[in-house]
Amino acid sequence: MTARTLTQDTLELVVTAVTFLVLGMFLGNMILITLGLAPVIFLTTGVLIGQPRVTSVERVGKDVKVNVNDKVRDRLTVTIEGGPGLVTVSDILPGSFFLDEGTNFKALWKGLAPKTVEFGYMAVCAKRGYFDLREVAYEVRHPLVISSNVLGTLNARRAVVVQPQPLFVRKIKNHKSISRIPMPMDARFRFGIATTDFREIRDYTAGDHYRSINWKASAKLMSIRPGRFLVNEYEKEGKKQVWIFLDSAAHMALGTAVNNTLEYAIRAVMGFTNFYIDRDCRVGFCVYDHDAYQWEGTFVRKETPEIDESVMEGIDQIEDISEEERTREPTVRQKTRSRVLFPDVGKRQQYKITRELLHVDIRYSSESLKEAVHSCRRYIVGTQPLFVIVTMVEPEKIKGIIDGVRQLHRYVGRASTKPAIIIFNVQGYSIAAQSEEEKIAAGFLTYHNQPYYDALRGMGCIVVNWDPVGESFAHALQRQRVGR
Amino acid sequence: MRENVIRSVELGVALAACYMAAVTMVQTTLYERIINMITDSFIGPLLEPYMPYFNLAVIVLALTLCFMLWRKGDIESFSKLFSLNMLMFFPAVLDFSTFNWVGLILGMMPSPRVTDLWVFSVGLLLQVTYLMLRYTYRFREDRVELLNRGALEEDINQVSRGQMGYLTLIVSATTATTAAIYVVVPYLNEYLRQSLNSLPYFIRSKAPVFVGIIVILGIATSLILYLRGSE
Repeated sequence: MTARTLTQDTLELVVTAVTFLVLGMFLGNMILITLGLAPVIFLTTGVLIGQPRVTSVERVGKDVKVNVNDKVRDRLTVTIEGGPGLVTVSDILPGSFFLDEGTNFKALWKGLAPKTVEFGYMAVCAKRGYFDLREVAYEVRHPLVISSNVLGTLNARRAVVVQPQPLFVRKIKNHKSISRIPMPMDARFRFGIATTDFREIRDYTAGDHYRSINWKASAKLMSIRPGRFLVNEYEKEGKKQVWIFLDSAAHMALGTAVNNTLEYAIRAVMGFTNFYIDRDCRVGFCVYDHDAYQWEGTFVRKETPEIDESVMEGIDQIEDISEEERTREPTVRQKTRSRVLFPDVGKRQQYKITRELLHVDIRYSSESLKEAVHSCRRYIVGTQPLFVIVTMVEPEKIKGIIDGVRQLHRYVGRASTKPAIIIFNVQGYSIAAQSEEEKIAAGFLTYHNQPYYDALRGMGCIVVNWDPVGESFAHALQRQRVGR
Repeated sequence: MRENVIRSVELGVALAACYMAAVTMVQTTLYERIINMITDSFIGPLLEPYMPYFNLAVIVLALTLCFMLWRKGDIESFSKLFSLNMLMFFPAVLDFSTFNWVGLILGMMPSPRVTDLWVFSVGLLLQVTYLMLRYTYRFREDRVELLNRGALEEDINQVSRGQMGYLTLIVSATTATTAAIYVVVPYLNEYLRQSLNSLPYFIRSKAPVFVGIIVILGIATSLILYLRGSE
């Protein structure tokens, strides 16, 4: 049983009836009194006939996994009972879905007999994510608006997993000869048992075994520069390791809700992940917030330690504590959210990264790049992985990247070799540009960033600029040719 | 059913109601008295050549007003239309009232040229018009709302068809029931009077009180049941 309220329409009809009845009594007029009954009879008939009830909704579509920009079909069957009236049923779709065919909103007239209605649609899934199409909303209206509209929802669950479309780079066959990009072949383990695969000849450093000295090469060198030895370096046993860092800062939202920098960055991450996992690499993934470098401090504990008050006994407060200070809540930095998937191999890791990417959104992490590297340090130290930082380089926030790169140098770098770092710069200005003027402005901004790219290159990074609107992912990588 | 069909129905109903109200008005005692007053006044001689067309002019004027109000098509205009119709209908009601206060003030004897059944029918038509126009306006609003929410034109037309059918049905039921009550009440009155006459005087004298209490209890019960309602 649900309480009914007197609607405006009902009240107006009642007032009309009462006016006629009172006027009829005042004038002693049977005609007016009888006419006063008409609105009452009208209302009574409407109440007795009643209004519709939506009893069930069935969904034909099943759980499905699709890629971005794929289409999903669905069909709903709605059963309505009760009296006549206007019924609207809508299958609430996520904001990133848009209709391609049919309708997800149905307005229908329910007559006196029970009614079953079917409607369907085809929608394009424009953005990645996990979407739970659960609620089917309905609205029932009494035809005479005698009672309030009944709003309700019925459960007809269906999950749609929209995966980001990976950007395949299969075309790069002999990348080593044509590209400067340090593909997995160059991402080595520093420690481990040496294999028989020769890697390079390098200068002798303290700690190198004398057996590894290449005497022939050293003798040749000594004729030019005496006192220096050269050693043979062999591949170490173990999988090659790749770390992918994804920026989730606010500037990555540049563009529209569906077509923005972050979406392209995610697709690039998918492309890198698939590429390296297919080549049997251990791939680690970490999401960071570039903006967080602005409020990062020294590395702090994630949880505030409890202080034993007894330790403080006997220590007098020199200054009086004001009441305001006493009651003030201690300022605590927001708890850091780490979003790290530690390196692993195989399809399982690929699935884990893909699943994580479904949920990535702006401000998904609260760590800066430096903090993110710090969080992953246990898995970085002792290895010499390839780092791929997918971000959007902005001059005013370049410090965040520089700090992060320095942190990588700290954990990986050594005197002779620098860590292999690719800064994959998704040029968001081009994504946001709509008109010709805006495209020209985007070009200017990219040009304006050149010195900063050079600064990053000076730190040993490979800066790959990618204009998602103008070129393909594979093309952006191929541009990094040897000798350019 | 398309919107222009609903508008056409509105126009038909509004013009019919307005015409009937105007025609009824020109046949009432009060209207005749007013005409006599005009004829006897200083402008009477001036208007005398046009007096045969005066009633026609009044009807045409009423219909023109009705058309203008229909053209606006909003709820305020429909309320004004109802008020206009009731204004024209009121003199006819006075002719059949037990306490004709206006007649007493102006000192006139009711001499209508229409029957009470005619007046009742016109009154019922006015009520029905009022009810219909209220809801057809709402149906048009529903159409706009549904269109804005993305409903298909075909579905909206189907909804409008259903709404108009429902309204016609319920208005017909109301008209039939009200007319039946009006026709039956005199006979019922006579029957109840005869039945009450056989009862002792002290009960007969309290009969209106009993009826009043029963009616009030009935109204209260209906209201409670309505407000508690059920899905």
